[in-house]
Amino acid sequence: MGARPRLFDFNQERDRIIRDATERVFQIHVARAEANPSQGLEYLLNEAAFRELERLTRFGPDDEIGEVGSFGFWRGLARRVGSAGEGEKRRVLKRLVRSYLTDIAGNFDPRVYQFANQVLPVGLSLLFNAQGGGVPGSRFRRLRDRIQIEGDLDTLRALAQRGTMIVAPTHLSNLDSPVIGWALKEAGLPPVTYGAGKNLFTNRLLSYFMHNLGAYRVDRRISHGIYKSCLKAYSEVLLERGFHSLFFPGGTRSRSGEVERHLKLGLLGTGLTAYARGLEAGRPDKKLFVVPMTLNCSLVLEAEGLINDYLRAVGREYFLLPNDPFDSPAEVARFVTKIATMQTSMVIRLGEPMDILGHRVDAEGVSYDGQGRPVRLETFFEGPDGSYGLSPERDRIYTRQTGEALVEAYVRETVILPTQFLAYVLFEAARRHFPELDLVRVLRFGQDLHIPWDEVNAEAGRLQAILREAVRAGRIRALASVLEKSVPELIDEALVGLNVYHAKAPVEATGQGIRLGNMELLCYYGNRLRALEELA
Amino acid sequence: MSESSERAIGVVGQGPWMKMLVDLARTHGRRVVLWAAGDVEADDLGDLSGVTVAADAELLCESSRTILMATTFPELPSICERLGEHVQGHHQVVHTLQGMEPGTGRFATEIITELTCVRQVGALVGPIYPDMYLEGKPCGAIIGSEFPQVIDHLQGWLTSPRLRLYGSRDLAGVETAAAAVRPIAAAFGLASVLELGPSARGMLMARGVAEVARLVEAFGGNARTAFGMAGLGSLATQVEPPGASAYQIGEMLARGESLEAIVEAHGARARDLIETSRQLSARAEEDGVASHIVGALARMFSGELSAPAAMRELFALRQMME
Repeated sequence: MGARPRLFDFNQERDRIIRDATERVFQIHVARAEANPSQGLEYLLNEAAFRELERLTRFGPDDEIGEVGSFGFWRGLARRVGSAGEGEKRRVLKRLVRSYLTDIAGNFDPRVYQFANQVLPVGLSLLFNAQGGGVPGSRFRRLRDRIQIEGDLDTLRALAQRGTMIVAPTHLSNLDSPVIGWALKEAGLPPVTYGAGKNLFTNRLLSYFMHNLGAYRVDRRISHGIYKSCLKAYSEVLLERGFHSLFFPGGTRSRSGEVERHLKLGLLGTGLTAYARGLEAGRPDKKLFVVPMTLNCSLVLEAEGLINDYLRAVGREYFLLPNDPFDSPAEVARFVTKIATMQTSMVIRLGEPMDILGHRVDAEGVSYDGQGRPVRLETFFEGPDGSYGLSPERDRIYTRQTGEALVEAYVRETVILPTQFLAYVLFEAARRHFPELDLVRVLRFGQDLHIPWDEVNAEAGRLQAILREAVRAGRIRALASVLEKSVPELIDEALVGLNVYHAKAPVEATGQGIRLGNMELLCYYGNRLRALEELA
Repeated sequence: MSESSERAIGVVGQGPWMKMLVDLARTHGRRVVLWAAGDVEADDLGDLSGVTVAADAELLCESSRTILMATTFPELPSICERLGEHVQGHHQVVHTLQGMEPGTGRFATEIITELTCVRQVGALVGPIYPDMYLEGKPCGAIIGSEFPQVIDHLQGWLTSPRLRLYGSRDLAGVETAAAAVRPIAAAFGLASVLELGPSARGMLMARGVAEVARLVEAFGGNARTAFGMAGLGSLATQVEPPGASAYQIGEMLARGESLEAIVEAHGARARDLIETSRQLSARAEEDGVASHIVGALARMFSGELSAPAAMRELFALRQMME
C-alpha cells in the first residue's frame, strides 16, 4: 500500500459527511413531495411513524438514537403529522434524517487499525496453531497457508490509487468481515468502510473494533423509506469522497450455501450515483471500480443454522433455527481450531475488476466492452443535450446490468473445495436413490443411506472430469487438490474435512462405502456446485 | 454535440425501411443519415434527396446517436462488429427484426449488446409494413426498449399523421411476441389450405395468442405484451390473405412442398421462421411451457409430422380450461 489510506482521514470528515448526507436525503424527499403533492411529506412521515411504532413495540425503545427512538416521539408525530404545516414537517424530517445518519456513521481510528492488524493475525494464528503446537515465529506463515488470497493484486493495487474501490464479496459467515479486513491488508490493499448489521455491535469487543475501523451501522429492523434513503445517501457521499467501500450485494449470508444469484442492488446503485454525480460536477476522472470477491470456505461456522433457515423458508416448517454460534466466542474458537486441521480452510478470490457498469477495466482504469474495445464510460451518462447527469430510470437498468455482471463473476471466481465436492457427490447420490421425492423428503429419507464405494468413486470421477473441463474453459475454479488428486485421495481429504467440526457428522466412512449423516449439511456444502449445473 | 446530430436519425441497410424514413424526412423536414452497409450502387437506393449518405460506420456514428438497423439476421453480426468500432455509450440502436437468429436463437438486441458497447437498445416491430406506409396507408408499430429515452426519442422522431407508435418497456416480451406470432401465422396458412374453416381460425387466433403469452413469460417478458402490438397486432396483419411470408410458408407446408422449395421461395425469411419455431419449441420444452402450435410447426419443419397429422394432434389434445 503506497499513499496514506483514504480512510485514515475519515474522522476529520465525519461531521461533513453526515451534514452532506442529511442535506441530500432532505432535498430528495422535499423535491419528491413538491413534484407529487398527492404523496406529500405527511405520507412519508406517517409511514415512518407506523413502522417505527411497530418496531418499538416489538423490540422496545431504542436509546441509541436518542429521542427518535422513543414511543413518545413517534406517537406524537403520528398524532400531529396530519395537521402539521409544511415547515414543521420539513423540520421533523431533517431532525429524523440527522438522527439516523449520526447513528449510522462509523468511525476510523488509525491507531485501532494498526493495533487490529497486529492482534487479528496473531489471534487467528494462535487459534490455528492450537492443535499443531507451532512455534511463534511460524504463526503468520501458518495463517497465510490456511487462507489463500488469489487474484490480480497488482492491478487492484493500481486501481485503488486511481479511483474508489467497491469490494463486493459473496457472503457466508459473520466471520467474513474481519477476515476480509485481514485479507485486504495482506493483499496490500487499503482498508474499506462497510455496513454491518447493528446486531453485530452487541458483542462489546467486536463492536469496539468494528466501530473504530470504518464500519457503519445498519439497523435491519428499520424498514421505512427515510431510513433506507439515509443508508443510500451515506454510502453515496462516502464514495463521492473517495472512501473505498465494501458491500455484500447478496444482502445477507447465503442461507442455502449457493453462490449468490439474486442481488440486492440498492448499495451497488450508490456507486453508479456517485459516479454520475462526479460527472455532473465535471469530474469524469473520479472513477469507481467494482471488485468481485468470492469467499470459499471448506466449512462454515453457522452452516447448520443457515441451511435450516433456508429449508424452513422452502417449506419445512418444523425446522428450528438454532442459536447462532457466532454469538458464542467459545464456539467461534472451537470452529477456528477445528478448521485449522484442514489443509486449506479458505480461498479468497479477488476477481477481475469492473467499472461501475460492469465493463472489465485494466490497471490504468480504462474500460473495455465485451469485444475488448476501449469504451468511454462517461458517454453512457450523457443525455440528449450532451450534458451528464443522473437519470433514475436509466441508472436503475444500468445497476441491474452491473448486478448481472457481478453474478457472472461470482460463478467464474468460485473455487470448489474438497468438502463441497464430496457433499455434492453424496447429496446427488441420495437424490438418485429417491428420484420421486422432493428436497424435504430426500433430506429425511437420505439420512443413514449407505452409498457403496463403487458408486461414490464413479460419481466423484465423473464430477471431477466435468469440473476439470469447466475450469479449463474458465467458467469456474477449483482448488488444485480437487482437480489433481486421485479420486480416493480427494475423497479421503474431504471426509476428514466434512467431519472435523459439526456436532452431527455429515458422513461416516465404512468398509463398504459412505453412510450419510447430516443431510442438511451435505445439501448446504454441495449447493456450492449448483452453479456448475447451469454451466454444464 | 452538433445541432445536426441532435435531429438526425441514422439508418443502416437498404430497402423499404430506408425509403419510409426518407419519406418521413421529406414530409417533416427531419434528417436521415444513411449507411447502406453493403455493396450497392447509389442508383439502386432510389431517390436520396434529403438524405445524407455516410460512406462508413464511423461517419454514421458521428452524425447520429439513434441508429435504426433495417437489416436481415445474416447481416446483423458483421454490421454490429463494424458499428462496434465507433459507437459509444450515448448511442441508441433499434432494430426492425421479428424473429431469432438462425443457428443461435438469439434475439437481435442480444446480438447488438454482445457485439457493441451499446446498452440503450430497442426493437421496432408490430403491424408495420414500410411498403404500405409508402402506398399512403396508415400504419402502427411498437418500440420495445427498457430505456424510456429510446422510446421517447423514436416516438418523437417517427410519429407522423400516418404512423402511430406505441412504446413498451418490456423489451423481452416485445421481441418474443414478435418472433412467436410468425409460427402462429404459418399455422393460419396451413389451416387455409386444409380448408378448416372459420371456427378453426378463431380457435387458432385465441389459442395462438395464449401460446405466445406463455412463451413471452418463459423468456422473461410480461404475458400482457402478447396481446399488444407486437403480438396480437402483428399476428392480425400476417394472417389476412395473401398474408405475410410466414402465412405463405404455412400454405406451402400444407401442400406438402419440400423444405428446399420453401427456402428457395422465401430465402432468409424461411430460414428465420424455421429456426424461430425450433428455438421457441425447445425453450418451451425446457421450461415446461405448453407450446402446441409452435411445437407442431417445428416438428413439421423437421419432417416428423405432416400437416393433417399436426391438425389431428392439436385436436386430440386433452380438454383444458382457458
